[in-house]
Amino acid sequence: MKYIFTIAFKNIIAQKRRTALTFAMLSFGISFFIVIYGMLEGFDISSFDNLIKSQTGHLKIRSTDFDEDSPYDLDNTFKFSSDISSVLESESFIKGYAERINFVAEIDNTIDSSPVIVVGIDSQKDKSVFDLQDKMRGELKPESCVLGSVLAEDLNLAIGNLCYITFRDSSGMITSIELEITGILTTADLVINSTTVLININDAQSLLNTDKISEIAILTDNPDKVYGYRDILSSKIPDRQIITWQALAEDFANITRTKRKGSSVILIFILIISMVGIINTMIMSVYEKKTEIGTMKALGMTDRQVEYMFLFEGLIIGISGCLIGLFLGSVFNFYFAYVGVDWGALMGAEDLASMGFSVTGKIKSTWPLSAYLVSFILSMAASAAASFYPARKVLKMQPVECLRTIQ
Amino acid sequence: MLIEVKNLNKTYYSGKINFKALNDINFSLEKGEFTALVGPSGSGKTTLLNCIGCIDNPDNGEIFLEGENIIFSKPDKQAELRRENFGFIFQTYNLIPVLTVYENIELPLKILKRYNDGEIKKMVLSILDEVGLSGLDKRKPLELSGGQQQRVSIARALVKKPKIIFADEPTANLDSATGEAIVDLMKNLNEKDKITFLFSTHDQLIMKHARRLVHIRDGKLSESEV
Ligand SMILES: Nc1ncnc2c1ncn2[C@@H]1O[C@H](COP(=O)(O)OP(=O)(O)OP(=O)(O)O)[C@@H](O)[C@H]1O
Ligand SMILES: [Mg+2]
Repeated sequence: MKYIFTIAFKNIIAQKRRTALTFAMLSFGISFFIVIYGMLEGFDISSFDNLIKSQTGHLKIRSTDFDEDSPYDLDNTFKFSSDISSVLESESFIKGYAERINFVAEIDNTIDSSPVIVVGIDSQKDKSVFDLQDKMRGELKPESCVLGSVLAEDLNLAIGNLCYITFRDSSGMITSIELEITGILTTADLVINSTTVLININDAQSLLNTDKISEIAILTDNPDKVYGYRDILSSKIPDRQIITWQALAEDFANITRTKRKGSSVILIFILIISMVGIINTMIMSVYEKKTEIGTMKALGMTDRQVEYMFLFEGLIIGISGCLIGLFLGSVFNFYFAYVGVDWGALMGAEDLASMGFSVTGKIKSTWPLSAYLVSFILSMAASAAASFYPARKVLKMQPVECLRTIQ
Repeated sequence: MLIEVKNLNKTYYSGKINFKALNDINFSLEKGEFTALVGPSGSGKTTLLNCIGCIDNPDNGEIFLEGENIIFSKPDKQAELRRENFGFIFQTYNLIPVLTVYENIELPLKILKRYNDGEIKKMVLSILDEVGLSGLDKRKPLELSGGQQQRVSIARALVKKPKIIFADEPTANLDSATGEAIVDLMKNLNEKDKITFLFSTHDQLIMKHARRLVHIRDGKLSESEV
């Protein structure tokens, strides 16, 4: 068996250019696959991270009869009792919490108007859960408001301008107030940027004539343990609904999953194309060695031994090409995974957001283990198939038929 | 008797035309013979050698190797017959280009799996000496002249001391002086090592070295002693 392997190896060495080309194709395809796959995974993780930091937190406390169909209705509000706050203060896994009140309103600049969601926040506590205030130009002051950047642009409003906000208070009275704009908010989320108005929670409560809140967002010490934390909180706060970020982000997660499937298909296709090189190389290798095959059979080699020779040849090319590709992919991915790239700055955050990626800042790629495995298994399978198929065809012939080709 | 061929027929089918290349061949070969198969081009020399050498299948008939009927063996059995009993010398040498002279000659022994590396080395070096190629063992086939390549292929056929060596026009690609030297070499090996040779040729100069001539014409045999 060793001499068969040696011949296979020498056959590869003898075709330096062809081997180099096959390696190049294969390793390019594989490294591309690894890098892009890691990038997309990085995007997804980063998107979820952003979602947590801008909208969901790790857990939310809501009223038990929270109506998903009209999430901003004041019927969903509840009282932030001292019972709840003492639970939140006592649990050590809670790193921060912030209550909010949300309601729908209409904003206008005296010319145009636009429906908005007003979010009343406690500036200090909100920081402990969300990072909205890091993404803000200016700041939220009492009796003033902060607008999402797209909203501000659409209505031609800037810091220092006044705007008018109209809404129904808790008793159903239509109220309208004038507020000064003291900040502009630019997040990775297009929806927030185009529909959100932030005001102080105290202002919101007094405008709405209520002492209730819509939700309490909680940041825990570990996002992967939220199901356990939810159960702990549920037992201690039985009259409220505790909901995890996964449940809150379900729609988003579904979109992500579909997107991932689509891109995986494309990527695997690229991988397969890069393997056409091996198939082509092996077909050429077998057919140009027809005479040699005939000679080896005349010397008494069995069909199986000849088949092994080509299998070895294909596998040596496949495995080493794949390893080169995995190595190169890892080298490139090292940069993307540890340094990261600010794709928002490169491509425009809005463009990224419209592609369904809610990301900002430097995005770090993952180390996509499944992509490594898929590459390896596929190259193995492709090189085995690529060697067996043409070898089978040639081996069906009598030795003399193989020998005849040169005469 | 080493080889006995009885009522051997072989037809080539190419498209609608059938061509009877071997027509009821009866023929036998004793151990130690040095026999030439001679006849004009297209008479069936190659076809007959291939059929006896088990690298081609005839239509019907019988071929006995030391009394055992070997006709229509399964591919693996044919491979074993060739591996254990036969050596081949081709008109076009058919050396493996990526292997050195040494590796080409040791290949049949490796395939045979009967000898260890030390024994193989001894056998290869002594055969290299016998065919007059000592010192060229590290060359690749394409770095040799035609005559030298044919010597390598003779060494490759000879190294496992087969029962018979088939040589189809072993000198056709060589100039007449080199060709005669090659036949001389084969004849010496035949005498010294008692290896049976069956070779084909249409070259008068080569024929006269044979100890027995078997004439073939239109797929039929007739014989004459030298
Ligand atoms: N594969 C084939 N298909 C069809 N006919 C063939 C085939 N091989 C050989 N023949 C025919 O069979 C006959 C015998 O061929 P063969 O090769 O045995 O002759 P040969 O005596 O070796 O000739 P040469 O001296 O030219 O080598 C020839 O007429 C040839 O045309
Ligand atoms: Mg011939």
